[in-house]
This record gives sequence, C-alpha cells and structure tokens, in this order.
Amino acid sequence: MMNETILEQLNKIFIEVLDNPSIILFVSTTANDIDEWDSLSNIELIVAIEKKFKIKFTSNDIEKWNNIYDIINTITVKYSR
Amino acid sequence: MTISYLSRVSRRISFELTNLSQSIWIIMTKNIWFLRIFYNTRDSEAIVTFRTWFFQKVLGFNRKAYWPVHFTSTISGYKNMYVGIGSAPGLAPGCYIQGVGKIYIGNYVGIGPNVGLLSGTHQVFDLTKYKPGTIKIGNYCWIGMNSVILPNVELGDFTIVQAHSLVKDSFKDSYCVIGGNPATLIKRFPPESYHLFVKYTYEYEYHGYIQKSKFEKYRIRNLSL
Repeated sequence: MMNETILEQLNKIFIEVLDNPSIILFVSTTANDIDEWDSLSNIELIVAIEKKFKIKFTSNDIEKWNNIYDIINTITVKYSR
Repeated sequence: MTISYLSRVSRRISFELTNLSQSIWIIMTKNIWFLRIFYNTRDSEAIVTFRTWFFQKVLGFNRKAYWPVHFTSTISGYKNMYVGIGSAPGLAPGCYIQGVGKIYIGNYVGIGPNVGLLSGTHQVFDLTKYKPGTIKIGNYCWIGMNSVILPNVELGDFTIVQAHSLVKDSFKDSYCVIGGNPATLIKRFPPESYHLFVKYTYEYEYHGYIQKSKFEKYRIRNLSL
C-alpha cells in the first residue's frame, strides 16, 4: 500500500472516532495539533486502526510514535508481513 | 599544565570514584546474603534503598511494616494488610494507610504520594468506636497523587485512579479510568485493546522485605488475615 492511501484511510478513521469532520491529517501532524486526541481517545483510535488494517500493535510501538509518519511506518511494516 | 586540564582530570577522577562506589555496592549486595534484598529489588517499583531501610529499621519510622515505607508516611495496623508482589503503599511520601479494617493490595500496584487508604470509619453516634470495612485493590492498578479511597471499595485489575479523586464506590470492572469527587467512571477501555496492557513480572518476587516462598509462613504467624 502507498503511504498516501494509508493517510487517507487514517483521516477517515480520525474523523469517525474523534467525531470532528474538520480534521485534516498531514504526515507531520502530532497530538498537540488535534484537540480531541488525548491519551484516552488514543486507545479508541488504536483499536479502530487495528480493526481497519487487521494488524496488532504492541505497547512499545505506541510509545515510540511521535507523529502520523511514525504510525504510517509501523502500519506498512506490519501490513507487509 | 593548564587549569582546564586540571579541572578535566579532577572531574574524570570524581566520575570514576562514583562509578567505583556504585559497582562496589552492587557487587557487595549481590554476594552477601543478608544484603541481597537491596540487589534483588533494585529494578522494581518497591525498591529497598539503604536510605529507606535505615529510616525504617534503624531509626524506627513504621518499623513493624513488612514493606519499605517512606519516613513521612504513616502505617497503622500493618497486621490487617496484605501487600502483593512488587507493590509498596507508603513508599511515596506523605501517604496514610489506616488498618482498622482489612486492606488487600494486589501485585504490581503503583501508589502515588499523599494517598490515603481508609479501611474503617467511626460510628456516627459514638466516635470512640470503629466501624471496620475492607478495601480490595486489584493487580496492576495505578493510584494517582492525593487521592483518597474510602472503606468497602473494590477496584478491579488495571484500574487507573486520577490524581486528587475520592473513591467512594466499587469499580469491579477491570481496564478503566476513574476520577473526580466522588469518583466516576471516566473511560472504559474496549476489550480489543486489552492486548496492549503489559502484564510485567519481576525476576525476584518479594512481598516488601519478604520473599514470596516465605510469605505464607509469615502471614500465618504475624498477620490477622
């Protein structure tokens, strides 16, 4: 999968889970840029992403994430297996 | 020789000396049997340092408690308390753990500073008499700073209590965040996310100062549980 298609799908998931249609994700977006994205809604996002791509993350993966680019990277690594 | 060279050399020597003293402490505690407790708990949350041991067992702040306790914390009635592996209520400063009733604390529980665990109340019309209750806290819980847990409260595994909250009711469901005054359910984690929570264990299992294998004997002899 291309990075851009993953980004589009992530954007759809974020709009659904965080219930805010004005979210536009970029590769450099962090949790500080989106008000609704806190440590509690983070878990719901992770569960939604896992369902969508049919992969499983570990807690170490999540701790390493800084922005959307890191999420896309781990998705591509896990999805290709 | 310039001054900068001298200062660099002296800094290097002091660094080597601190390194040397640390490695001597580690080798000593590893090989002498009655100092093994310092070595075995050095990576855990319920760490026994020389300072806490000295204040507790030599100077006598909360001497009878069987787990490491900070000297500003207060433990009353340690006989009514069960403390699991890797957890130490009162190791953070300013805690008040009151053992009028029974307190059961599970394994690997993190308890912050200024936390109060009140296991008993007074009778309303006669304040000289106590009304004991029980507190049960599950495994892998996290209790934030300044929160108070009242008697007859039961918390499930992986419960996170927010800082400065008053827990009045039981929350037996696992995997949730509670908080507020009085505490309410803020978030329950979905079952699909349970695999993210790490059930870590330590290499050396200690109930405070006592090994896991010797704890049953200690419990029969000393505790009223």
